[in-house]
Amino acid sequence: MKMKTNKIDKLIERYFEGETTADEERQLRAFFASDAVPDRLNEYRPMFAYFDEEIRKAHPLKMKTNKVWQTKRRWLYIVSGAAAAVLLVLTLNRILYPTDPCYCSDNYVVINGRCYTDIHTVRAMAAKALHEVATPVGEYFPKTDIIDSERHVVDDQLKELGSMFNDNETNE
Amino acid sequence: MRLFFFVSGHNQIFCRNSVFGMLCFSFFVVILMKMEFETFKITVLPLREKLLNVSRRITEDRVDAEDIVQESLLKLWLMRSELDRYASVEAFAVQMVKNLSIDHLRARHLESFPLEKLSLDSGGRSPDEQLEQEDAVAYVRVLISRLPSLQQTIIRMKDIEGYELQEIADITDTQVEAVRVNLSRARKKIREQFLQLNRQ
Amino acid sequence: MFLALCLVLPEELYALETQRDLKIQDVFIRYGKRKNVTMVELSKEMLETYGMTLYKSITIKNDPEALRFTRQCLKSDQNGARKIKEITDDGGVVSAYYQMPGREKDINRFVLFKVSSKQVITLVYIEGELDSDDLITLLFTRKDL
Repeated sequence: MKMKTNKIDKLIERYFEGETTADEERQLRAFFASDAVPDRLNEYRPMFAYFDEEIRKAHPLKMKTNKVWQTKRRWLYIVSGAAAAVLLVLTLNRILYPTDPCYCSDNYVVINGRCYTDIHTVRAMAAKALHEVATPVGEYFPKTDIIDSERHVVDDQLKELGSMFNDNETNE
Repeated sequence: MRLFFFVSGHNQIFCRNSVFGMLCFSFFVVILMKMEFETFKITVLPLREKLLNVSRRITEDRVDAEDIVQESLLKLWLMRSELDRYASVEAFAVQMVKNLSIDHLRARHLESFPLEKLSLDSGGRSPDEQLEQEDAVAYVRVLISRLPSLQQTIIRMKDIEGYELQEIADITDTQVEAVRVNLSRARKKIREQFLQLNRQ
Repeated sequence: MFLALCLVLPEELYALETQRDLKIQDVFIRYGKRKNVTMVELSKEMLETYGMTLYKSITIKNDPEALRFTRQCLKSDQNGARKIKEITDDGGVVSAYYQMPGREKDINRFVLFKVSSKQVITLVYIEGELDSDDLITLLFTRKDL
């Protein structure tokens, strides 16, 4: 590994000031393990060699270079890559498009931030809201031309809609 | 990022073949480590004050106690995956600090030993000869073992385990500058003593 | 970890699916979890027989900021609505009914809105095959439901 002389000197200086990053220290160790070390810097070799040895002892796993391990590693990377990519997409999606607060059920009601899935409660609340939003006729809208006989049809339809939200399932 | 650098440092062929995969792998590793640290922060770091008190009682020195506690935190971090083996992490940590404090007291007595008195396995080699690499490496090991306990651990964390200064500061709940100063002192000491012997 | 991924994935896809381009959805997202707010969502299974595929409603009490926001969203969603019925007073819209075309053919979207005299906001969102005439008849020709 070739490295410019002033660059390495600078690195060494920073090393002893405790300012180097793990990556830079790796570079230093690699440099001192190589043949490119000038004589004046030879005295630092044993120190970095010591660290190389200790690293080898502490993390023997990394040094395996046989084919089996390489293939396993490759698959690990590909799978991790795929999984991480998926996770990234999901996270971004969740950030960009916040979903409804309650995924616990298909039918739910959130009251004061708490999620309830009891079907009776859910129905009751739905009915309440629908009731509220249905404004009475005459006050706001012109009367429609519904003759009395047709009212029965309307009544039945309304009953049907209402029963959807009723607790007692007394449908036909 | 430490595992990432370990991986990339020793398998450059891999870098070229599956950079994206490796980036994602390291992305995972970073997440896992962040989670581990969060757990550590909740289960171990709150013990700091108590551990300080334990150490101070034994060493009777605030500065030494601080060093001992930092060292114990680093050691606890390094064995974080085995901590759930213990019924009480607190009791274990307290015991560790007690042991380190007692060791520290003993070490204080040994400080007066001059360096030359230590026997090196040089097989009768005279000090003014250039040491062979293996012996030199062994000598570095001896020098490090003579450093204050905390500095030894910081060197291990930084140079061998590959942690960054900020990570060490997080684990010990101290300032980055404090860690840097300790690390710098340790490294300079090794250099000073090693070159001293080499040049005799 | 992969199992967790599998569990999360369908949820996210569902979210993508129901992501509509109506501003009114933001009212549900923003206010759904808050205090003095009730939000309901009903699923397909429950609504199938009535020709609806989605029902969402939200009731917000005493929140003038929410009222302003909702009115803004309504204004924005008005564009492209096929049928609009509104009642306004000095403050703004107090009652509204919009119908817009859905993403798919034959699916309609309805927005119903009301602010009561007590400043209670009720917003209902319905998707379904049902006809606007059916809905408006059901809702606006009878006082009691």
